[in-house]
Amino acid sequence: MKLAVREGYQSVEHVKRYTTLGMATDQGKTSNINGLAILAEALGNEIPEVGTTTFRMPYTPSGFGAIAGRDIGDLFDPVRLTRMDDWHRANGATFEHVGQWMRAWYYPKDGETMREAVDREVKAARTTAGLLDASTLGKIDIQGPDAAEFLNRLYTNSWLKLGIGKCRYGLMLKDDGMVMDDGVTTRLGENHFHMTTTTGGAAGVLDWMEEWLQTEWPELKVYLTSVTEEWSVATLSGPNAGKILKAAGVDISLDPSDFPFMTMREGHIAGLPVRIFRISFTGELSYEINIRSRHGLALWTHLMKAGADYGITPYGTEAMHVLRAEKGFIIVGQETDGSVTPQDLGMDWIVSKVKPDYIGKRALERGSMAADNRKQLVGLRTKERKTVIPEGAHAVLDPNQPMPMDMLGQVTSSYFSPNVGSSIAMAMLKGGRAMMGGTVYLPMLDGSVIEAEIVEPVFYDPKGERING
Amino acid sequence: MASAASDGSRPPGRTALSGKTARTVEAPEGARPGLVMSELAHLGKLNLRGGGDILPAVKKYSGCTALPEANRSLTVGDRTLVWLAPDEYLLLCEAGQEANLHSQLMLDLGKVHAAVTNVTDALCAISIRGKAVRQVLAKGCALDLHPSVFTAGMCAQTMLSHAAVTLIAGEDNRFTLICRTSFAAYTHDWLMDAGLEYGVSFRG
Repeated sequence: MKLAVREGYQSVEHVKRYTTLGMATDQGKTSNINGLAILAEALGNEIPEVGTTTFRMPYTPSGFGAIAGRDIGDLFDPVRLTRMDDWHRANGATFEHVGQWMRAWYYPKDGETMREAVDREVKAARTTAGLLDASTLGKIDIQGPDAAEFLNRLYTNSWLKLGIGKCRYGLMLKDDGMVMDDGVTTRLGENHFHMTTTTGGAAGVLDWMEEWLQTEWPELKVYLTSVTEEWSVATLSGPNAGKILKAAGVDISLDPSDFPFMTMREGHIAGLPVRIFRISFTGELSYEINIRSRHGLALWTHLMKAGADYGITPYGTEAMHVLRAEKGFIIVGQETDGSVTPQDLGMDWIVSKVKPDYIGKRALERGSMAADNRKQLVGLRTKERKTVIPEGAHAVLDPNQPMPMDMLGQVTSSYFSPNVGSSIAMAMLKGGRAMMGGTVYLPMLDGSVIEAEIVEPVFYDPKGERING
Repeated sequence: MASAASDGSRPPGRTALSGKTARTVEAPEGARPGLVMSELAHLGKLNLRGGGDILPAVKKYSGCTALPEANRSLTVGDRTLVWLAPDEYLLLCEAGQEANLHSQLMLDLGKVHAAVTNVTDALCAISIRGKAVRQVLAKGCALDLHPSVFTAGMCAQTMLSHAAVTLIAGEDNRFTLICRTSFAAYTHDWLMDAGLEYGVSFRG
């Protein structure tokens, strides 16, 4: 109001229109008199002389309750639970919201702090085995003679020659060349694929794919069906994962020569049909076991029993984040924000140089996309090993520069890693790849400064030697 | 987990609403509940995608002599074919029949460009009925559900409050509501709340 007066507004009707005073859900019933009083004061006048604006409907105040209706409490917004949720609750899990889903976050035991619980879960997955409820991952069933060609246009890498029963990781770009989603897709048959997407991206990715099929490539014979909730997924990960799967009564040979990394096998566990994907978001020997959802809870409890002698440890999304960060695996939406290309992530290896086209290709070929000063993914190792940088912290080269400082970029992921024995972090820094070994500073709100070295964003098992257990 | 019985039969497993207990809130003056609902546990559900050339195979296994027109469903015996989109249908069958039906359809469709997907466990089917059923649904649904407009044999994909649902209208104020399993608890809770003033009963 005062600014409006300073800018020369005098009439109450003009001030109202300029400031939108009284145009919110209260229709001026609470704000108008206060606003007019401030206006009168600013104009050096009395309220009656300033006058009031013309009252418009609704004259009678409406209660917020009438607007909210029954959208309160449990009915405020749907909460989506996995079919294994009962077990997580009965076993003391804490939860975090992931979109509308509630996912088990960590499972504190005997008064453990969050950090103690997560450390224990992260260690267990690398020393024996951990079990993660991965049911919320988006799953799309893709059928049709042009399914492989469709994937070839959708993802940046090649899909035409993927063998039946084989899995491949894919990165999906928007048409502006920026990373949109990622996941592992498996060829179930000549014309049949099973795609996984991020939990949060599932609905958007299906819409995106339908849009391309319906509006741009109607000639492609492909049909899509969401099967996210048809399958419950228990991910068994760690050096003892195979032994536990055997103890659980799996009827598939787990010998790496029969069941290699990045393949899928169909079989049974205790007589119930399962699809097992040998893919890994931890870098450990890992089996993602898919079962019809009616048996999801039974599968989970059965695996927990079968693994008891091995110290099988349920782990939540926090430990999952730490484990993947130890390996330098990105999370779309955490390392990326809609302005990040595969090259920025150091993932040139997944971008085909020979495919005639894919979504985002033309945008990626623009000169500015190769600029040296784009923000690039790097790892950060703090000088004080135990100090965990707050996520979102800004990195600068000179912590003594007067404000506003020149910002290099931001920390996208940051955890304490008990397996590495220090804090680990990932960051997107301008020209970061060329600065390997250099030092950056992270000024904190309290005036302290964290010093960190720029390193490769792979902190654990850089050669990938643990994948076979 | 109980292992499979030697005759190949399997434990039925849990449904989306296994955790919800039967509950009745009497209508005012002791009248019968205006809304009665029950889960159609394990109702077989196959998602079908394809053009007109899927008809011969679909006819053989659904009994329907034509594909349903837009926003219509066809019921023959214990099978119902529900229109979802111009190239998409939902075939409902008796619990336990979906796997065989799936392979039979795939076999008969042969080279026809079509997709058959078992979504039995992905979707929850709830039977809702009673004299107040349309009033209750109208509280959360923007469609005109008047009995002269949304008649038996009609169906629609729509929103019921914050959940995406498929509504299939049957005779005598009976509806089948289908939603994703992760929205089933919310949908159940919403219906129990919206039905309170008419008396409401969930039979499990």
